[in-house]
Amino acid sequence: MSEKDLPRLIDDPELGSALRAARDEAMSPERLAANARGLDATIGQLPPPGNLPLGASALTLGAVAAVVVIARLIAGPAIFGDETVPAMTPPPAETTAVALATSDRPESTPAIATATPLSTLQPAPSSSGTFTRLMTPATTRVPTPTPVMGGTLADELRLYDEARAFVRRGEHAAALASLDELARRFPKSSLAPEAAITRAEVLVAAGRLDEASSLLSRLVSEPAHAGRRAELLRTLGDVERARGNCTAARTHYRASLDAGAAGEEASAVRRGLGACEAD
Amino acid sequence: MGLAFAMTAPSTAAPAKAAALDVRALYDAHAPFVARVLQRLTGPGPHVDELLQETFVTAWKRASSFEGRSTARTWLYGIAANIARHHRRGLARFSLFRGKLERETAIAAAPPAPDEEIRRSQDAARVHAALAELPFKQREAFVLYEIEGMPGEEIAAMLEVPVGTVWRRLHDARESFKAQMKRGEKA
Repeated sequence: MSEKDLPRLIDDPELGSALRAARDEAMSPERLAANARGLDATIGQLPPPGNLPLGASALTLGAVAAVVVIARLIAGPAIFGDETVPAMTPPPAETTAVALATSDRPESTPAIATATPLSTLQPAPSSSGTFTRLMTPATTRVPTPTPVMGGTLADELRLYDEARAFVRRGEHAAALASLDELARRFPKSSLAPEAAITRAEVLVAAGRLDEASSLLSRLVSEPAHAGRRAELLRTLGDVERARGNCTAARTHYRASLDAGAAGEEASAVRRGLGACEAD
Repeated sequence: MGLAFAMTAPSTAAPAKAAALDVRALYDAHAPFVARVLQRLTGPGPHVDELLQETFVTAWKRASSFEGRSTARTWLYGIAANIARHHRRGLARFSLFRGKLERETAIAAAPPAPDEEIRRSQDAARVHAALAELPFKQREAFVLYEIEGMPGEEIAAMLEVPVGTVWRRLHDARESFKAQMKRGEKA
């Protein structure tokens, strides 16, 4: 400790032992090694960094998979039993906040946990140039056994996974069909917020910008998406810009800043604003 | 592993040129630190593995942005903190809750652990619970100073803030942390 530093609480007789217990926790060598293997696998599947489409703007949505994994973990009967699943499912607002991340900074994507590597979705060409790359260079998880699931949640997840798989393959119509089925069969699904974002992703990727705009306009005002409002607004700005409506785009970009866009999200907003000025 | 970069031994010294960065060597040198920090910033749980891998995948992607003005550890911390920051609080709490249940289950299922081990596990859980209540910037300062034991100046460089800001955040964090720990004792 430098003499300029303050005394540390870890030396405090009251709190020191608890802090030392936390300090002594470390990831085991086996777990570190497993993650090293996962890292190898992930990087092996990615294009060289120079080829990554950095700087494009869009929603990053693959983190939705984290929710899926969490739900699976929750549903693991080995620990909790099926009856506990509904009570332990996080509320939609928080789930949504976890699930989504911004595309311009895939590096800030929260935990992406999927047994199947997610791939980068290439956008459909738009009339005003490329503006969006929807999702997500993702971390490949070292394969772990999938907990056995049963009942409604399993079916919801199956449909959701199916939709995500179609998204990854660029099969937009099939993805929308799966999402439709999910909505029809499970109108109160806890995955509904993620499904809505996935739908927006598909619409943008398919170049159906009018529908994407309409959907995103609705999502930005929904409480379930409050944690990602800045990102959604920025994406909406991108969509409007691609539609040639820079007046609306500017409004959404500014709203994104007002909603707390920061870091690279804010940079994306500024790039969007700059592009509108240049148009 | 099939990485695009040539091997260069990493260190806490300023990293070499980006093109010479080897992410696996960086991982070997710094993963324990990054894992600890991620766990303390987001709470324990299986998500830490994802965040850890994400940090180094990002480092790999961003190797070209590595300008050598900071140490490798500082650079990696910046990436990890950004990832942790976006790992939302709700999930952090949820992970904490889940981790607690897992620990309790494990304790019930496993042979009896020594009292001391149980106590330490409970202590660590209380610390994580208290940390989860801190605003992110305060949590960073607290974790790096109080748990990682880093000097204030190094933390300031890592967080890219004046050292006075570190002390202010730390001060606020300590107040909240102590209050949370007291609540934890009563609970």
